[in-house]
Amino acid sequence: MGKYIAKRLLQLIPLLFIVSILAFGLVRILPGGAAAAYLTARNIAPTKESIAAAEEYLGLNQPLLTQYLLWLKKAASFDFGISYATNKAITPEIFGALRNTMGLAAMAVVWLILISVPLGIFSAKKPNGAFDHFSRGFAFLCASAPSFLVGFLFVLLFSVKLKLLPSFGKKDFTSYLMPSLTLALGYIASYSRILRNSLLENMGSTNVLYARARGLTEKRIFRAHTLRNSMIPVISNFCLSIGGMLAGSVIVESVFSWPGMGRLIIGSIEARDYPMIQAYIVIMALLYITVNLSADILCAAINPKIRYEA
Amino acid sequence: MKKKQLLSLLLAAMLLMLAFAGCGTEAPSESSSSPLPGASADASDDTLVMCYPSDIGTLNPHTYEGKMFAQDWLYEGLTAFADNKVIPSLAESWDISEDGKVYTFHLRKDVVYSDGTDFNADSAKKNFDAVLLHKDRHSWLESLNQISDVSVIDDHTLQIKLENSYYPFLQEMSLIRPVRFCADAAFPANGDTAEGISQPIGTGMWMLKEHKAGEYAVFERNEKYWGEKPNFKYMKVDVITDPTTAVSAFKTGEIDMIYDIDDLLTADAFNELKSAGFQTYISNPQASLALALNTKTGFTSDLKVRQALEFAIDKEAICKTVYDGLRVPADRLFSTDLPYCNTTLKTTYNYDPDKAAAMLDDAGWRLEGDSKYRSKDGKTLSLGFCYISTDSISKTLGEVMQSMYADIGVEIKLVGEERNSFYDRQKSGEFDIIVSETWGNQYDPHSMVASFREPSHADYRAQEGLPNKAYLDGLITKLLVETDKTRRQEMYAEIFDILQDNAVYIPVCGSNTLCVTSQDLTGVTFNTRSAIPTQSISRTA
Repeated sequence: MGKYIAKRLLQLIPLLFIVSILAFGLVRILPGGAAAAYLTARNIAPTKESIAAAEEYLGLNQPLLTQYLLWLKKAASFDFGISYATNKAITPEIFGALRNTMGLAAMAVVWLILISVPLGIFSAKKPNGAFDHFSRGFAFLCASAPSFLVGFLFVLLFSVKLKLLPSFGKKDFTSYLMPSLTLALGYIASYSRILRNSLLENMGSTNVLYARARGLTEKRIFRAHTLRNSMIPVISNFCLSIGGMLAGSVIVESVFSWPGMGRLIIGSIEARDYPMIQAYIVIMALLYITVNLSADILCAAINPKIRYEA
Repeated sequence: MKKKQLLSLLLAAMLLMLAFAGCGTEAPSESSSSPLPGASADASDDTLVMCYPSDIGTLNPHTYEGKMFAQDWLYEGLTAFADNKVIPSLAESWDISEDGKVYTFHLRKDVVYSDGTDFNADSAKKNFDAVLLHKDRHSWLESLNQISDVSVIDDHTLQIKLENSYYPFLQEMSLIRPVRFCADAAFPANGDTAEGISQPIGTGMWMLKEHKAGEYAVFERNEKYWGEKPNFKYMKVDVITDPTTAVSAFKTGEIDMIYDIDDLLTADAFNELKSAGFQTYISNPQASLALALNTKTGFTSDLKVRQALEFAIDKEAICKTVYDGLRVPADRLFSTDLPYCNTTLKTTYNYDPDKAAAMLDDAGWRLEGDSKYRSKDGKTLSLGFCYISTDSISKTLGEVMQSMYADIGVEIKLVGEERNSFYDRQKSGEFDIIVSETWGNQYDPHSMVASFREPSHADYRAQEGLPNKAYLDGLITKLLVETDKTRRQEMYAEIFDILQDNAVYIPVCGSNTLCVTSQDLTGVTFNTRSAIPTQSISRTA
């Protein structure tokens, strides 16, 4: 197992290197140039003199390689410099936003487990029964309703009409409920169906037949064999979508005015705040890589076949 | 064994995620008496809660990163601007030398910064020096280009010498940025505020109490303020990016007021809230919305085409459909209410689509066969309408114009782009028709007219093709230092006529500010385009 993890970690090095070059190179590819972006973000008219002064100040007149190495050295210790738009250090701002988005994603996971697991199990108990039809309809609705619509409907019902929950922002625990549920709904739809199908498949498998032959109770068979085996596709799918959840909360964050990564990056792109965009790319790439790696390791832990074949 | 391993791994992952969630959840900082959970200090009697679509930013008085309304709350100028007039502020009076080149400001003696230190001539000079250190960043502001010397005469007298007599000087000293004053404690160690200040301390009526970037900012009343203090003890500004969210939050009572200086309130929402019984306010026009036409390149470089576009636009209909009747049509770039702007224009363009069509025929643009659009030498008369894509109102305006111009056989293509690409077009002149707004009553007409000479402005680019552009620029330069008022008036009249005769701008309508408040608030007023006056707002019992 240790060997497997070490091998996977080694594979990360070239990947991170590519990410760093892409993030750094971005500033050189985008229109206008970094000095002009710096001035625009600060609402200063880019004249010849002001551009020259900004290039000098930002160190853009140094050789490209020097600039890259300097940037890389700092980025390696999570120092992404100063935001063009706010003139403040990027690191605390982006990690603050990341924490808020992670909080939202974590709460969405709680909803996901609370809703999709019972839905999947009860649908599988009586396939094509009344409950299964209901849960299929529910999943269909959740998967097809766009999250901004669901979000605004929630606000209309729970905030404007019933006055139960705050309509925007991050204030206390109750602020988490609506945005996280909105974020979770799309995932709930697919996971409840994946779990149901996987359960049905396992229920008919030979090991369940043998377990019955051994005289085990149905309850025991379900818990120890069917459910456990059925969770594997759910878990591996889930690990893959954590990254998507973190990066894909843009719309939910905008609807609920949630101070997270999605809103931060939209604002930064609008302001052409290049250092912030670079930091976002690096951090999101790291997150994706870490989550995917953990998923692979988790799967390897569950299924020895994977680590031996690798 | 494996089952346990799997379970513990899963549990650990869950716990980790929950830990993050735990970090993110903080107890509300102030106790809540509001019916809404989590509404913390929001609905209390001494706090006025409003929202804004972006963070207030860094409140540095000498730079342009912060939001102007918040800078205006914290910092003051030597003069102020109210009811379209310059009035005393930190300077209680001033003398102007006969040649108009030396201004002697007598500063108020009862002013302290919110940290208790004195505001005096030394402090004022220190602030001027910091701003003038980076003249290149303020090239748009002619006053700063004209300053040759700032000196301290005594503790409360400051003298400013100008290269030339520059008549809008006092008015430009009232602008929200960059000439406003912060305390010694705000200056960084090297004294250069351009790269940041250490803390936002001004003489204004509000102090920044708490700021959570991207979430909210709380301002506290400055009890040391020399003038009339606001009624509320606190001002809370929540960041709400989406207009629909803002309206919902307003309906729930989580925010008391939407003061729309940055498009957070559509005409639709305004009228809906009005009929729902909320208090609504609408300012007089504070600026004008116009469309700038490119005189240098493309089909609009032909004067006849530009004039046809002027005649083919039905402004009454636009005000009714796009702005729900909340705006009034404009027939000139600067409203006649502004100084020097009440002139008689030689040319006027009243809505007359038939005349527009005839002019295009004249210019050789003809409808051939079944074609919907006119063409000449095998080219279709198609123009790009450039706007910021997130601005839904400009988009609607573009769509309405699309149909109006289709009637005379002109095709309009909507070019909606993100903010910075739009600004790039302004600077480079790559546009046919571009949405443009005058700068607002504090700047119009002099500051905007002065900027006509700056190549980084859309106006310069739009006017670049005029045969007399060099003459126009020279006229502006002379005008700004002209000492004779009558002569100045004549020069303004000439400038406005050049622009109007050449159909550089299509004035559309006056721009005004909308505001909605909860039923228990009174005293909402309007001043300049980017300010939110708070002094007179109060909550009725």
